[in-house]
Amino acid sequence: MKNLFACMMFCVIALPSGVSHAAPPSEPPDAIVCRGLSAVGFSYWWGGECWCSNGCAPDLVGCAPGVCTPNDGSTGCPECTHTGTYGADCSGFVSRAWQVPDPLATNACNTARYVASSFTADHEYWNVVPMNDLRPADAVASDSHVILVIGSEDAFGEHDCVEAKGCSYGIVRNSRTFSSVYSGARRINLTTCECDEGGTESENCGDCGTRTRSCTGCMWTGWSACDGPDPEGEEANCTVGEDALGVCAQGRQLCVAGWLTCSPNSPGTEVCDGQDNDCDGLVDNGTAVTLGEGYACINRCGDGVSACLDGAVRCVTPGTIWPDDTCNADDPGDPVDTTAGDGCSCTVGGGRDPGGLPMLLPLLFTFVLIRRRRARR
Amino acid sequence: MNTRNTRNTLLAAWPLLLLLLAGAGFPRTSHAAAADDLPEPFLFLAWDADVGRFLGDEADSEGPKSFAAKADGGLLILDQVNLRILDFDAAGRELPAYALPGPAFDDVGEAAGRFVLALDRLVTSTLLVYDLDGSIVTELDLVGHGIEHAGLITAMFARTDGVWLEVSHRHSVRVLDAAMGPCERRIVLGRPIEGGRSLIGKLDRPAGGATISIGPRNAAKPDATITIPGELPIRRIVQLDADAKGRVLAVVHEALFAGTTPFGVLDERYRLIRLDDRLAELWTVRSPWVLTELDQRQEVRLGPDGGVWQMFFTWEGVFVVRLDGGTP
Repeated sequence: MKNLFACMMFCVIALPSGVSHAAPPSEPPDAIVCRGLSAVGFSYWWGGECWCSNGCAPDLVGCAPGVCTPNDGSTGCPECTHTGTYGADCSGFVSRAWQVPDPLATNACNTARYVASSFTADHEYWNVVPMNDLRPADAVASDSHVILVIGSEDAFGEHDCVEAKGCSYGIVRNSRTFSSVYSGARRINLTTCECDEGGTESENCGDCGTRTRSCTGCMWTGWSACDGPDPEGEEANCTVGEDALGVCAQGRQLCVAGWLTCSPNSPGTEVCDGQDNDCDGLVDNGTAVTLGEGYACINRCGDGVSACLDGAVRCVTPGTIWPDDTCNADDPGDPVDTTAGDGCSCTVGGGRDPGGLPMLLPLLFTFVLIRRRRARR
Repeated sequence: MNTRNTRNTLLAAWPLLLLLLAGAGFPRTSHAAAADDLPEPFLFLAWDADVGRFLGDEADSEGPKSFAAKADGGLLILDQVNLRILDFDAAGRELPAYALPGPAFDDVGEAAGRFVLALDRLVTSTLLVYDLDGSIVTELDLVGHGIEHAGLITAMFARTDGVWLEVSHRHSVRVLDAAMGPCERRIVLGRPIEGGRSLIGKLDRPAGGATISIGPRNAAKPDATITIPGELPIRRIVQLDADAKGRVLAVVHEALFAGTTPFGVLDERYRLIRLDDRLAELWTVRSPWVLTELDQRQEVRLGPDGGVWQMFFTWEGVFVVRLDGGTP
């Protein structure tokens, strides 16, 4: 009954017999997209088809959007009440965005329009098109709903759309998909050549990106993905903050999808470099293999073993005042001689009995462990 | 034309359609489960008595727009028409519902097993976080760094490092930290998964397939990429997600349309493909249940335990089935 009432009402409004209508204006698809975007934020009004625009933006100040309220016990219109002057239902919105059956200003109310099911079949003002060939400014319709497509298909197959969705929503912009009961429609009189072949244009997007489109076959392609160059130099460094630890607390500024973001360093293998590479809060606490420890080596004092000390792999030999100091090849000072102050008495090239090394190893590991714990503190 | 009767006729044709699809015999690979091995529904909710729907008249129609699999094995069903989130335990028993403050919520999720998320992209542009007592503990304005238009949010993911919102199937923005508090927004390309990695999906046009990549977040090159050829042309990527162990779920909508006006659909189905963390195929299953005229944002979900769930509508009501019977 509700639908019968709807059909009678809209048939009378949309198709008065004997009244001729002007063909829709010759215009590029962008003009329809612009008109559609200018309705976002206005209320859903069952039977309505008007709103106020300021270029491609809605004029929500000069013309206050109405309010749609479902009646008690109803989940939607037409059992609903609308207050206010402006608003549209789905087919009123698409009719006005498409300028059918008459080219009128967006704020012209109580005028002829079509119902949703009209857009599912060929018409003198539009043609049905395949759903896998939707373009901006096309409509997608079922027997009960019609939607204006304003963007090209995204990576997952959804489209950026504007629709008068229902009493609870109003006119909204959203990314959405369509079930297979929907069919596509394309208005006639779209300007066949809206740009100079080979031309390009770009615009800023996000906070570090740009996007471009080019003119192919006399029509603009869809906008490219928003992207931009990553910052360089000092601007590239950033601090992640929160509770990030070690190298993960630092990051690099990237321009991702046109937006600046601090991309934290990833946790890595703990190596001997004085940093917390695996982001567990401890410095140089890897395994002997990852730290490069335990290998036999020769330093100025003779035979030694590699150990991670103070953020560097050193060849150490216990000295006379061991374990408080060691003889190692990296000591500052005289590059040639080592002294008792270095923890051992030896000279470069001086050797020790290599047979003593195996006996020294357990002591060396204990020594290294103590040193590393001290280093963490 | 009486549009309600038309829709009812279409919905009533579902059982017949299922029989036809089962009888048609889908092309199969040796390791593929068949659509005619129909699983028992985990949950059935009758229209109007158990769950709300809205049959649009010059407006969009809608059923429950989203659902989520909980850590305890139960389900959340977004019953936005009745201003609530239905809560079910692992045995399908109904628990007290969460009250919604408005009718325009269109996604739901669970975070850390102790928070419930409700997303309203279109009217209030807010994300609500409930504790298990049903109290709202966080209310977040969606628009901000990385999100210009809330209506272009295409997915919501609760990860161990917080809640992420995907925009236009291109990038994701971390909007809440692990404690469900607002945080400095961080952005990654694609969909973040655990282990500091991300998934990127893209339809292969005009070939009719889909390409999936996995790798470190914001890395210049992915670790692995595969192309899924369509048995029918792939129209849409319905879901792309990974569980805590990194195993990936890709769900594609395959559809064949007539080549002449009015270009009606000739055949369609969903194909669910389970992949390991290097994108090697584990198993494939085909589902005959596809999107109906009732608007639905989330149709297939990957549960915290790796289980694969589908929520679909018939003229009788809402069904939820588990399609894998457990993770291989």
